[in-house]
Amino acid sequence: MSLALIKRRSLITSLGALGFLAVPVFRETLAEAQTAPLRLIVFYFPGGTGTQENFTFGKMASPLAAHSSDILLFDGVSDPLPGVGGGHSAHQTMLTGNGGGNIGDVAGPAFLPPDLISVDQIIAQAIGSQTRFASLQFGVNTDQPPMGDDLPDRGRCVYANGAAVPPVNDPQTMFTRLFSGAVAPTGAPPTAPTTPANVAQLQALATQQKSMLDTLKAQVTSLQAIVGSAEKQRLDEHLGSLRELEKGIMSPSSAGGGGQAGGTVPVPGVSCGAPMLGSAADDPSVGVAMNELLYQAVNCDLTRVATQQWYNDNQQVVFTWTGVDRGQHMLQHAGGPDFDKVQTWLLSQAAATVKRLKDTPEGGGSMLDNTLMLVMSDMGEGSLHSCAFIPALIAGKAGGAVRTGRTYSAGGSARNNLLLSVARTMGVTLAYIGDPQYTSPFDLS
Amino acid sequence: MKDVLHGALALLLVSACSAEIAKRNGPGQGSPIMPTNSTNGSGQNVDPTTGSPTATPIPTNTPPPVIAPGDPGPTALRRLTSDEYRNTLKDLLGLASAPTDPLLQDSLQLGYENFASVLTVPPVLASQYATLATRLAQAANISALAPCSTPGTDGDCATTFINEFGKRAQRRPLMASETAAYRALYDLARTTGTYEAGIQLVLETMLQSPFLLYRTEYGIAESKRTLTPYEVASEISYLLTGSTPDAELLRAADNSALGTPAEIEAQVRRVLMLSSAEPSVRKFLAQWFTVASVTGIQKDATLFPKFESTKEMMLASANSLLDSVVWQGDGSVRGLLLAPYAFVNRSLAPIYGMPDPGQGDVLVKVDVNPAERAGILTTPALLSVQAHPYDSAPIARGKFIRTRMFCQALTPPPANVVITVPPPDPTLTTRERFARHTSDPACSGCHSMIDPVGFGLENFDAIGAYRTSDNGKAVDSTGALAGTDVDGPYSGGVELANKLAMSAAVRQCAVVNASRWAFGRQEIETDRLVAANIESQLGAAGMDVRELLVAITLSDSFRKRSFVP
Repeated sequence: MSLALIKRRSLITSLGALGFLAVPVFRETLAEAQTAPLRLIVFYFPGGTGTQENFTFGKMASPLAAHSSDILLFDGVSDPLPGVGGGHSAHQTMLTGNGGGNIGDVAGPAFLPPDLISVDQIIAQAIGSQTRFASLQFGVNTDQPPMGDDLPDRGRCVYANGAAVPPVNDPQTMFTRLFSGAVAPTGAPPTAPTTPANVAQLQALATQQKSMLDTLKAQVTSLQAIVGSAEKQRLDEHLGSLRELEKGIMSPSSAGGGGQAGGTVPVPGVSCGAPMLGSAADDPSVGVAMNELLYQAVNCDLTRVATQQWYNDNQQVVFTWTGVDRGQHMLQHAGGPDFDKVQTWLLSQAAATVKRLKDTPEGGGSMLDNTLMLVMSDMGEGSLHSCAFIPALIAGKAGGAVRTGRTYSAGGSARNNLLLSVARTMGVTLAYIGDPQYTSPFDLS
Repeated sequence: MKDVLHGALALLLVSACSAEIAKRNGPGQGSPIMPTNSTNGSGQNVDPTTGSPTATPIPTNTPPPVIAPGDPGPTALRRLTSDEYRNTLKDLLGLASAPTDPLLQDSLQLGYENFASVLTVPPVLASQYATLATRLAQAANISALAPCSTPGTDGDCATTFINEFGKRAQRRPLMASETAAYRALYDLARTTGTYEAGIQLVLETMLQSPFLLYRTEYGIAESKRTLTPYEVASEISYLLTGSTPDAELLRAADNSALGTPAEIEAQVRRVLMLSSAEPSVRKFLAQWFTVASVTGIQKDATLFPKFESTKEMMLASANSLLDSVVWQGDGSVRGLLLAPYAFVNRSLAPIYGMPDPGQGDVLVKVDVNPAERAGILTTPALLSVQAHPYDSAPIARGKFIRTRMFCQALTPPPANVVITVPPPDPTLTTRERFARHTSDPACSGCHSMIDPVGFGLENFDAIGAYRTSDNGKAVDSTGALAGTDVDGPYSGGVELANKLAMSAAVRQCAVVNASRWAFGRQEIETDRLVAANIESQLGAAGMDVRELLVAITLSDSFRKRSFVP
């Protein structure tokens, strides 16, 4: 735990529930890596398009028009997996490519395959060890109850070990997680001058925290020895969570007070930004805060795999700030101009992140050049709840692997193939994702 | 109870349905459901570095095995819900109130927040546990929690604390190896710090230990199938109080006095008298009737400008009704359905169409108009949850009655039904719009089983206010039940409530719902058999809610499990 981080935490504690948080943080760069890291951002928005012709820069996607040269637009991607329940189960399939036993729209909880995993988590497992957080899940109002509360948990799209990995909807919680260190050492001085005595104390605290986590991991492992296989898998997730906490413990070096965490070294003086969180609880304000936090998380290289989920399928949120007076899901059923307003607003939120990445210089270009940002909905033509012609695009060149400024005609190809190409671009070569029928990645280059 | 509606149900959210059986665009046509064995061994993933196939398994999609009647169901590892965790911390540390630090919201399955299958510990939650445990350990009064007055006996005091507090935290005595591991942590912190620092590190660890976070159901060593007395103590305590076992329950476990139904019954009846039983029973009922969700929903702010500021009151009012019937009234499911009163304050009075009872925000128990309302079914909380943001929802309400009151399963519409929605029509009542929908033969097969049930509640708008006209026309609130044990026509919510109150199937469904809550799982065949049995014992008296909970704890399946490796 570096002194700088401890100071930040005490700041956060004291600022607590105040209106704005503006805390300087230092960019932590990989000691050995001189080239910019490749990042994956997935932006989910619910409800698809009103009609398939809508998803163009001239219409629904107009907020992204300014970035069209940095975007690869997909035409004719389809999800073959949902269907029962009228497309509602596309939540579960959109990043996993796996319908599992999901016939549960009405009849009861969906059966989730015990090893269900989404593409972002596949990638996080491959590259996540390089950063403080293997992946991060940002959310904006994702826990709205669907109508009729006996419906299964379908408001999720990120899965690992057969269970949903829920997004964080509270900016304060995410801020604390990102910028205060996950493990606050017992008895740490709130602000400590850098003296050898303090460094020794911090070292002792770090050792204690590590021992505590070792004890907890040993306990989880001992539990694994007596449980059935399904629970074993869920405890694997718990172990992974404890390992992530472990990465948050920093061992101060004996001189200077610079710290090391998970192989990253803070570079003094290199600012990676000052997160500003508004206090208002309305969705647009939360959205602004989450966009900021997501940006800072990748900018500070705290993670290279981030998902951002906006709302969920089948909720009844009224997007009053876009000038509509009906819940989104009802607008989706009806289609028409009001639905387009909502979807356009959602895409303007994606555009904000695209712009932010584009405006951040990196190497000879921008952060966007080294990012693969997949913007995608669950359904296609929302009014039909169909999963054909799903609105999907990639913003960013992924280090040159994606040729942008064009439209890719998928010709009705399965979404699984798109997921496969995303994984390959991120360096994970698989024969298929979710369903062995679909083995034809798109040529993104 | 076995009634299952088969066929196409294009339902729930549709203002009107003109279903067309159509081919979908693109490759989605054909079976939308993956064959259950399509991924077994038929494909392999590829090593990212060599490009050669690896043995990485992909989702196997093998559904869980069917559980035979009589089988008590598999062992489960039940992570405490966030509320159970908060209550547990309060009781362990003797806090004045449960901590309110942020913890991930548990997702609802079949309307309940405690289904074991989804209660995992993702990274965010682990980090929230860590933050909370640190805060509480730092705030703890160590000299009260782990007193140590004799100089030079620090280590012994620490071991005493580890064993005594550890037993409460883990809800069973510590094994020697566990004590040793905690003692090692204490010793580590003690080498550079004080006795207090050492205890704090132990405490911080115990508060996020998996042995605290998960309830196990693995039974005694000799028999994998009978829960240990300590596990039984936890099952009783979390079911009835939502928190960790008290000293008496742990003492009963110490004495192995939780093995027989008589021993269990004595403890269950004692625990049900504790003050913490009231919120716990209320929570079950509020999730069964879905009223707990009212604070999470939104309504059209133009049509219902007061909803946002009233929804907390709606929940409080419904909770008061549940409490009143269970703890002051006759305590029965019948009583919940027929209570002739409601809890009203100045914000709720307009929705109830009553004068302000005159006590501000205080909820006052008042008689309702017996022609308009009865019991939980006609509370604004329930009717708001079972409604659209701008309109009533007879389909959702009909489905609520079918699935949550009769425990009937509704099968989803077939994959090739494409649902299109005509725009709302200001010249028609909601019922008329849906009448169109049920007149279409493609939908009516099933909707004739659902819509007429919900039509009976058309006197209530999207926030549960009583109305006699809809879009300027008189409301027709005649409804009908079919495929139940109380079939027949009725008119309005009060008659519907009376029909439900007479139904053995509804009483049995109450037990099924309680078993979902008790076991944290979708019911298995055994639970349905147990429910039928309990109904036959308690049904004649209207199905007392507390007695049905007692009866569940006395069933074999409460303390037995099968083990699936």
